[in-house]
Amino acid sequence: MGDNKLGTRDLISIGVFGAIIFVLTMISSMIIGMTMVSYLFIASGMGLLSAPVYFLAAARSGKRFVSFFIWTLNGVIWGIIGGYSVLVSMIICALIGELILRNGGYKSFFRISIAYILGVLGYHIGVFVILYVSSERYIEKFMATPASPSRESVMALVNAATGPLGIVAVAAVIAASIISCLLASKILKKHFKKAGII
Amino acid sequence: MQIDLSIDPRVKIFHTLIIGIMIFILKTDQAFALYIAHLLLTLVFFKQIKEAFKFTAAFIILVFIYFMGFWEFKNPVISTLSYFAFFVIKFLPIPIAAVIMTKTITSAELIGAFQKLRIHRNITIPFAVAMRFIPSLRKELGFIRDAMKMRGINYGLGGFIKSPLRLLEYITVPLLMRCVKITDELSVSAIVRGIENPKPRTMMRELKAKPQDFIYFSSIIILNSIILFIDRVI
Repeated sequence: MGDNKLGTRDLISIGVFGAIIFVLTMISSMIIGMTMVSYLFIASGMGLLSAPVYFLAAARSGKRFVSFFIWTLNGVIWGIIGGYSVLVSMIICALIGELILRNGGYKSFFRISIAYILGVLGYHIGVFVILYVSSERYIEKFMATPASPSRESVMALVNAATGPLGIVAVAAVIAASIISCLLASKILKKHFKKAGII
Repeated sequence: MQIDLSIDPRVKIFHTLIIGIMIFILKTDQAFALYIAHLLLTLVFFKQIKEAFKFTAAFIILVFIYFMGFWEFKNPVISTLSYFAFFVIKFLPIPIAAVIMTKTITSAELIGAFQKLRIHRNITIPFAVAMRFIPSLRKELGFIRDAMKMRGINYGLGGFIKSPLRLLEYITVPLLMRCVKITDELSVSAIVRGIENPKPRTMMRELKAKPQDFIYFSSIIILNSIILFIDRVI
């Protein structure tokens, strides 16, 4: 068995840490998505909270495909509950992240950060991709639920996303992820490196 | 002789997928309420009476808050609460589906079902672990909260406003340490039980389509079609 092959411990750690990332994403998305104004920034909550979890899983194992499977697992759970676009975009972004990690070792802080930012962007893209591809279909999908918000507020969201605020939202997601990465590196150095866990 | 009336986990996974689709395509309030009722009955069918009761109570309270927004639409607090209730009602089927996935399917059954569906173990094992771990996460957070309480740390909103980073560290570090321990313990336990055996996994109860699976499967299709029909036509 090759050294870089995923073992049982790696697969279980993907499951445990992937589950925490999913729960953090779910909670932060529910809080941020409560109002239509903040809905556009729904992925920033995930970006801000999940980095320590992701970093620990990726740096502890240091093997190929750990990062890929963490994001894929999240995508699969989102897919099961109806978010197919999130599933596809997360798998694509996870693949790009994996390629970046492959070229420079799996323990490089910088490369893990980029893979992390890509994963969070995958979630953001998955949530809003239909809006950019076909805004009419997005409005239809948004309105196709009981107790939907008014058409005007959904239209306002579409207008905001296609205007400069859409770029601001992407920048906010990246900024939140970078802050979280820096925080994660500090926490990992302070507690986990000392304890010999990574 | 006791008759085995258990439902194949593959059918339950299929039902969860259907739930994920249905919540996004139902348009009317009436059909959605019917759909929730159908899911609550499913919980009763799987003998999850306590969960069914909890979800029913939550649904009634949320519907009440939601309708309050129509009666008192000029009050901004009530209309915000109403919107929040809408958001939670819209996603209420998801925790119900999670109960079906986590409480009525064991990890061994889930892995066995995925193996029959020819899904690679690199997806199967993390997924089965995640499904088991999500419900126990609340318990772990409860232990951390108790420890913080004993040390006199304010873990509420006040504490978060006062020093958010410190509070985040106080919650994250013990949680992650605990997760590392859980990962190691689970791996040891799984390896001892032969998870690394390359041969196909065998099960005590063979996964075979039984008559009750066909009845359950067809009743899901019929019920969902009726609800969809009510949603689109009536």
